[in-house]
Amino acid sequence: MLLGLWLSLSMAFAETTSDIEVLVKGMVCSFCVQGVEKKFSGEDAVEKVEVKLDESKVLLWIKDDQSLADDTINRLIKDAGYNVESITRTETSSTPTPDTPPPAK
Amino acid sequence: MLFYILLTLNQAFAHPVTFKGGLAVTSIHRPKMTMSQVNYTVHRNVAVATSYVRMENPAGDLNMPALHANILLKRWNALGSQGNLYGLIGAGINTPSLSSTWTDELRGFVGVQADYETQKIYTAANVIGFPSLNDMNDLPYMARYRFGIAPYIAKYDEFQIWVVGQVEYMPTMQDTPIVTPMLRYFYRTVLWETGVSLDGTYWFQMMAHF
Repeated sequence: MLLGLWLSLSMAFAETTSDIEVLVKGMVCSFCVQGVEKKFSGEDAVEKVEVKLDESKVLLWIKDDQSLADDTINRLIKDAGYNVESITRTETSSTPTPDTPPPAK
Repeated sequence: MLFYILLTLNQAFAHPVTFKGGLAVTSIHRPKMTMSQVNYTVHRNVAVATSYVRMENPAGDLNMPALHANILLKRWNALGSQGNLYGLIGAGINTPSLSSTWTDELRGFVGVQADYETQKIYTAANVIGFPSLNDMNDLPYMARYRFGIAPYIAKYDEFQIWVVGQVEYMPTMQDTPIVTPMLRYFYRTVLWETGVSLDGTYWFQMMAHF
């Protein structure tokens, strides 16, 4: 039973914890959210993007065997019209630089 | 002083520049005034735009489609807030109604806009003028200042309401400023505003980003 509980918690944690957390300056409205989501959704390495407007954070989930460099994150945020305050990576996320190309098919 | 004004100002009537690749559509309607704009942001600081302006002035009508550039001159980004200074420059051809004393002519389309916003307040001011290229004293313009408060903070997927107060001044159309309390409704990337001025005229605005 304890093992089952531990597995459930582990899976829930794995599903909800992002690989990269970006603190962004200048995001204040839904229009801002749309711009940021569009920029990151167009990146091959990004599996999922979520913007927490009330916390000024962009959460990124990265595809297996791929990564997203800090320079790329900075460029995408800047193209959306904002500035990066900080980038935090979880311990399990990939090496930040350079971008890892998608695996050959 | 300018910094203070910007801090007490904010988010616009239209967003002159959005994000690179972003398309914005906005349309403002009053009984004697219409202003519609479509803009496409080609660079994070520049958008190309087309506008249509209608002003029913006692001296002559303005009925003008225009092409212009919207330029983000300066943006101040901070955690939870944003301030902007924009410039607009272009030209259009005014084709007033037959009953108007004005004639068809090329006119400029120039403006400046400043805004500041957080998730709880926003304030903005802009002035847009349509100078005659034949007579620089012939300068119909519209000036607006507004201040808005969000009674609560909604998330991206939730319905947001703002309470907004606006003062407009369009001297070629009306001698006195028009004061309009209004409500702004915001859901995802679509925005509507409805209000009635203290002298009884309606205000309607729609804005959407794609």
